[in-house]
Amino acid sequence: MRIEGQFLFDEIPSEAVWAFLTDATRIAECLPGCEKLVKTGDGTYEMQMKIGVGAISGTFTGGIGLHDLAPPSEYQMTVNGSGTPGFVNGEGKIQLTSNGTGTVVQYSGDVTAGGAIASLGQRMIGGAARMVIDQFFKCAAGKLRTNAG
Amino acid sequence: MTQRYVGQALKRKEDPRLVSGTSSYVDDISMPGMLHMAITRSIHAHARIKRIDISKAQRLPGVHAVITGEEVAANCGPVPSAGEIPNMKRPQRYLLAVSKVRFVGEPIAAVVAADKYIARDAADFIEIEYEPLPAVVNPEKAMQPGSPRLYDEFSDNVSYHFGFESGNTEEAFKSANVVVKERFINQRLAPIAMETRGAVATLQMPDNELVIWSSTQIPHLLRTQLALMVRVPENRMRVIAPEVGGGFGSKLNVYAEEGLVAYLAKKTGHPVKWIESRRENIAATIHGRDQIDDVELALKKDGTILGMRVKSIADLGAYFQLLTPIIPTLTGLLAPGAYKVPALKFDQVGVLTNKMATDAYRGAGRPEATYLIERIMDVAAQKLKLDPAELRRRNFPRPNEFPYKTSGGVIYDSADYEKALDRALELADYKGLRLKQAELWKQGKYMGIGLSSYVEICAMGPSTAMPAGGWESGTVRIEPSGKVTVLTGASPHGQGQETSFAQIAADELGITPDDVVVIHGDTARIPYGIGTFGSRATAVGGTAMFLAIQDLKEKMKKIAAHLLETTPDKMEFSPGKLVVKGGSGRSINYTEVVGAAYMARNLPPGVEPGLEATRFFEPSNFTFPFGTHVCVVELDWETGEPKITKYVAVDDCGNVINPLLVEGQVHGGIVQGVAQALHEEVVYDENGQLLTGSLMDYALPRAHDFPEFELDRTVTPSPVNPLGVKGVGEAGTIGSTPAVVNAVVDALAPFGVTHIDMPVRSEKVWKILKGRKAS
Repeated sequence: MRIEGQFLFDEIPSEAVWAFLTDATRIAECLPGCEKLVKTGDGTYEMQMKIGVGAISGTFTGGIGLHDLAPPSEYQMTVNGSGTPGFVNGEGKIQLTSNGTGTVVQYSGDVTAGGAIASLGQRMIGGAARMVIDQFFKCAAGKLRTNAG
Repeated sequence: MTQRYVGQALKRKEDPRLVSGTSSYVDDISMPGMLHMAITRSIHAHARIKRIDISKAQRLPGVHAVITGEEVAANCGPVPSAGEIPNMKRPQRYLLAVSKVRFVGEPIAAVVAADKYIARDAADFIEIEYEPLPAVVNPEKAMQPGSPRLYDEFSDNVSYHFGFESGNTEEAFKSANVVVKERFINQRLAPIAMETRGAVATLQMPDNELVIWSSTQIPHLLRTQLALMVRVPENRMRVIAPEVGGGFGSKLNVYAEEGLVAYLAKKTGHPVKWIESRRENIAATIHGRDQIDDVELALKKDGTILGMRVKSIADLGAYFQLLTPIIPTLTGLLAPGAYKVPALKFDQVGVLTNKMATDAYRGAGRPEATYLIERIMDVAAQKLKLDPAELRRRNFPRPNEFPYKTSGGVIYDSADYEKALDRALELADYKGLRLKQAELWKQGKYMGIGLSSYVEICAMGPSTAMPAGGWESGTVRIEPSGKVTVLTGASPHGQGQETSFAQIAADELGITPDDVVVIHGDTARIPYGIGTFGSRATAVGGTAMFLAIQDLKEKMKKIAAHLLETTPDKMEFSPGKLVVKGGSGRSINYTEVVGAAYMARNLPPGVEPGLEATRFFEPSNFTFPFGTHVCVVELDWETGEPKITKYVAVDDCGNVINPLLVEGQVHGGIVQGVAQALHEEVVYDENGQLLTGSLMDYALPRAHDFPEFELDRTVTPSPVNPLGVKGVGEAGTIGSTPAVVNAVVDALAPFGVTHIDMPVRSEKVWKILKGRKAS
C-alpha cells in the first residue's frame, strides 16, 4: 500500500527540520503512541509504539533505520514493527525542499501489513497513517517554532 | 398406508426451544473447573518459525498450560484428510504448526487458562520469530515451474491431476457449426454458519471416558478420527453434537481445534472449552469454491450440443481438511448438467496455495458445475441467437430416457426437465417478461432475465463413491407404552429431521408425530452413523429408519395375527390399530400389540420379545434433483446496482415429506447462491494476507436484497429409495447462482457484454453502464 503526502514547515529552515527529524529523542517527543525510541547504532533505532486502527489496537515493537542520508534534503527510512495485532513493514523516502523561508517535507513509501491489522484495517491504514504523520509534523512544527522563538 | 402426515406443512418440533432460547449449544456448556483455550495463529501466509517464546505466557497467573507444535506432533496424530486420486501429493499437518506456517490464521500455539480473557492475553504474549517466505496466492502462478513451493518435500504445488474423457471430443469439435468458450471463476467463499465452531472436552467420572461436545455435522466420524488423533480408544470416547447452529458443510470436518481441546482435557485433567471467534471463523474454518473453469462447448446450428471441454483449476489452499481434494472433482461428474452432452473432456488440477483449505460448502463441487454449464448455455444461446429457454429445451434428455447415463459418468435416476422449465416459465410469465424487457430497453432501462435449469447430485451416496461410507443407520424403538423413539445417525444441524422423520414414522405406524421422538448427535445413544451433508439425511437416513419400521411392522403383524388367529399377510396398519384385510372389521389396537410384544406371554413361535430394530441403508445410487430458476434483475443506471425484482424457483426434489421444510431449504439456498453471484468473496492480498477478515468486509446478503420468492414444485419420485425422495438441502444454492449472473449478462446484452465475473457488485456494472454505449 502506498502512503504519500507533504507538510509545510512554515518559516522553519530545512537544516532545523532535518535536525529534528533525525534526532530520536525529538521524534519520540512528537510521535503519537510512542512508548520508547532509543538509538541503537548509526541511523538505527529501537521503537515501541501503541497503534490503533479501527477495532485493532496493540503495542508494536520494532526498529527504524535511516539510510542514504543526504543532509539536509533527503533520506530513506525503513520501519519494521510487529505485535499482537500483526506486523507492519514500510520503506519510504523523505525529501526536504526549501520554499524560501520555510521547508516542505514530502514523504512517500510502501507499507505492507499482516495479521489482524491487515484483515480488519488494511483499507484504514492509509488514513490512520496520515493522521499519525500529520499529528507528528504539527507537533514538530510547534516545537521548532518554540525553539526558534 | 394412508398418508396423514407425510406431505403436510407441519411446524417444526425443534422451533419452540430454538425461538425461546432454551436450547443448548456448545457455548452453553459450563462445568466446574473448566478451562478455556485460546490459539495463537500465524500472521504470515508463508514463513519458517525460527523461535517460539512461551515463557511470558506461562508466567501469566491463571494459565494452566501452553503447548506448541513439537508437543502435539509427538503426542497426537495428524489432522485427517480423506480421498484418493492417483499420484496425489497429500500434505501432512499436525494440530499445531511445526517449523513452518502456510496460511494466515494457522494455529501455532494453544493456551489454556482459568478464563477466556486470561487465555486470550496469554496467547498474545507468545512471541514468535518468523522468517517470512514468498507467499503463493494465485493458483495459476502457483502451478508454474519456478514458483515458490509450499512444501520442500513436493516437487511443485500441483497436488493432483484428475480427468477423463467420455465420447470423442475431438470429433465433436471438428464437426461443430458453432464453438463457444468462456472462463468462469467461482470465487472463494466463507460458509459463515451463524454459530461459529466450538468444542468442550472433559474426562468424565467414574471411568475417565473422554467426552467431547462439538458443533459438528458428523459426531461418529469425528469420534473415530479424534480417537486416532489423541490416541484414546474409540470405545472410551463419546462425541455429542448438541444444538448446532448451522454448518453448510463447514462442520463436515475434523479440525485441529477439536483435537486440541481433547488433548488438553487429557493433559490438564480439567474440562476445556474453545469457542471460535468470528475472525477465526473467517480465517480458519474451511472455505468453499475457488475454482477456475475454462469451458468450450461445441454445437450444431440448431443448438444440439455435440461436446464440451473443461479445463479446471481448483485452489485447494495450504492443507487438506477432511474432503479438500474430493470436492472439486464432483464438478467433473456434474459438468453436463441437465443436457445431453455426448462427448465430454474434463481435466482438473488441484493446486496448493498459501490460503485456508477449501472443502465442502453448500453445494460442494456441484455449484461450480452448474455455474459453468448454465453460463456456457447462455453464451451459446446468445451466439446462436436462440432463446435460452429454447436452447435448453432442445438438449434435455426426455423423461422416458431415464435412468440416463451421462458423459460425466453418473446415472441420473429420474427427471422431467421440461416440465419444471415450463412451469417456471409459466409462473414467471416469461413471454410477458421478454416483451417488457424490449419495451424497457427502448426507454434506456436495463432489465435482464436469467434462467438456470439445474440438476444436482444428492443423497450421498453409495459407499463406493464416498470416503467414509455412504450408508446411514436408523434405529426405531417402540416403547412399551407405544411411544416411539427414533435414533438416527444423520446428525441434523438445522434441517428439521426431528419433525420430518416423525411424520414418516407416524404414517407408517398409524400414530401421530407427537408420539415420536427423534434423537441424534450422541455417539453413546445412537448406533454408528455417518452424518448430515450432501442432502442425504432423508433419502439415506430417513430410509434406514423406514426400513427399521418395516421390520417392526412385520413383527407386529405376526403378533397381531397370532392374537387374532389369522395370518400375518392378512394384517395391515391403520391409525391406532392393526386390522384384518377384507372388510371383516376385525382389528386389534396398536397399543395392545405393543404390550403383547413386551409382556411376551403369548407370542407366536419364533418371535422374540421387544420392539426395536436397527437398519443400515446403503443406497444403490445418488439421487438427482433438478429444477428451473428464473431471475429478473433491473440495473440501477446511477449506481449500477443489480436489483432482483422477481425470483421464481420450480424445484423437483422427488416426494416431499414436509413442504414447509422444503421451502425453508429452498429459501436459504437461494439466498446463499444469490450472495455468491452478487456479494460474497474471500479476498487475500498478494502477500496472502486475508483482507476480508470480518463481517465488515465479507459481504453477507440481507433481507432487503431479495424480493418475495415465488416457489413451486414438480414431483418426480426417485427410484433409488423406497421413500421416493431426492434431497433439497443444496438445490437453491446450486440453481440460483447462474440464474442471477445470466440475468445480469442478459440485462447488459445491449452493451455487447457476454460475461461478467462474480461477485457482480454495483461497481462492475456501473463501469459498464458508464463506459459503453448501448446498441
